[in-house]
This record gives sequence, C-alpha cells and structure tokens, in this order.
Amino acid sequence: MHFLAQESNSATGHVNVMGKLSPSGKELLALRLLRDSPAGMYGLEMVNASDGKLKRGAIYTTLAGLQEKGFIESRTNPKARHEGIPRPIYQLTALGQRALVATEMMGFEVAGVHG
Amino acid sequence: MIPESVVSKAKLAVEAQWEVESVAEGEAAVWWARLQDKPSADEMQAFEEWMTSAPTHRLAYGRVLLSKGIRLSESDLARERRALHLHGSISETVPPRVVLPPGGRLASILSVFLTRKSYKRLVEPVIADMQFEYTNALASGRTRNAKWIAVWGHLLAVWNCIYALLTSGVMNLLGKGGGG
Repeated sequence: MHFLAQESNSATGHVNVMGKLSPSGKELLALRLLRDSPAGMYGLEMVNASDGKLKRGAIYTTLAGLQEKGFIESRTNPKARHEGIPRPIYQLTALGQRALVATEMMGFEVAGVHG
Repeated sequence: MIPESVVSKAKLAVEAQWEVESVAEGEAAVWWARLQDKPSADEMQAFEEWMTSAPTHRLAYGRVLLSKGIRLSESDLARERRALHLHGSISETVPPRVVLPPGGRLASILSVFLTRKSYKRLVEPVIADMQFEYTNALASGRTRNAKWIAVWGHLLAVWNCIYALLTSGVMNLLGKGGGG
C-alpha cells in the first residue's frame, strides 16, 4: 500500500493518511527522537531521551516495527570499542522523514504520545 | 673411564653456572626488595632491562618470588610486573582468566527459534546493550549491578523472543505470514 493512501477511522473520526504504514504513538516518538539526532541513536539512548515514554522493555519491538515499515534503518559502528555483540545505531530513512512530516502536517492525533 | 681433564672441565662449568645463578639470585633478591617500595618509572625500566638481559635473571627472579610464596607463570609474571608498575606492589592474586560478556550462549540458543531478521531486530540489540552495560558496570567496579544487568538482559531477550514468536504466530493465523 502506498504510504499516502487514505483510510478513515469511523470510531475516532480521524483520517489516517498513511494507511497501515502510519506510525503508532511510540513509533512517532521514536521517529521524532531520531529526527533530532541525525547521527543516529542507540536504543538505550532513545529510552533515556524519551523521559520514560519509551520503556527499555519495549524499545526494540517499537524499533523493529519501524524497520519493518522502512522508516528507520540500523547500522553498527565499526569504531565502537566494547566487548561482545556490536550495538546497532538507528537512523531515520528518507521514507521515515517523509512519514513524520506527513503525520505532523496532517496533525492527526495519536493517543498517548505527543511532545 | 672419563678422563680427569673432562671431569674437571665439567665441574668448572657447573661451578661457573652456579656462580652465575647465585649472583643472579642475589640480584633478584635486591630487585625484589627495591620493588616493594613504589618503584619509579626509571626503576621499572631498569628492572625490565635486567630481566630481559639474561634467562638466568628471569629464573632467579621466579625463584625469589617462589621463596616469598608467590607462584607465577610467565603470563602472571608479565601481569605482576605491570601491576608493580601501576600500583607499586605485587599482589598475590589468582591467575587471570578470560571473562566473556554474558549472553553469548543465550544468543545462540534464541537464534534457533527465530528468523535471522527477527533475531537481528529483537534479540541481538538487547544482548548487545546488556553486554555493553555489563562491561561498563564491571569496569567501574559495580559487580552487583553488573549481575542484575545480566539477569534483566537475559529476561528481556527471552521476552522479546517470545514476543516475536507470538506475533509471528498471530500473523500466520491471520494468513499474513509472520517473520517468526
């Protein structure tokens, strides 16, 4: 489905301009955090920056949803020096930026998260 | 019958070796005493040079340490010399061992249940964070905190695995083909 395809929600009266690709509340918050950090952020950094709105127990499920939609991408920093598995850094994709802009321009309310 | 000249030559060689070793042991004892008070960098440099100048020196120093009740392997010797340089004292610590960050085994177990994509997105970042926080906690001496981080990290990784399996199960039921 094209991300600007329209769907109306009869229960809330909102027009969902992006159909199934529309970001949920937590996803929207994560997208905003990533927009403010062009170099990208680690998952835990996003948890800390969200003032408790994003929980560490759910951050990666949220980010996985965004990755599935193509709004963000992850990479690892080869220069990062720590033992074990490299931590992924998340960055907004062009599609994610467009989705965020479209969501904010349409001003459709997403329950629970706004900032 | 071994000729007398050969025997005397051998005796001389052994005595010479003993003398070398006893001299080295005496020097080693002196070095031991000097290194007990916080040695300067110059002293450490001189000690390193003395140690590497002859194999008997290393052996002699090892014997001196042994006489003090410190049993050291080669790697321990190197570590203890570093400790001497850094802290100014020899510690009778247990030999060093490799400490792997937690989660390696869990990662390999959970990767069996999930697709590569789900594993990469849901489990691997959790384990990576856990390992990062764990090593940071250990580095700053918070061993108790490190243990809790490991416990929570494992639980969270397992929970994310269950979440991935449940969502893929629901998607399969809906006929939308979950990732798993």
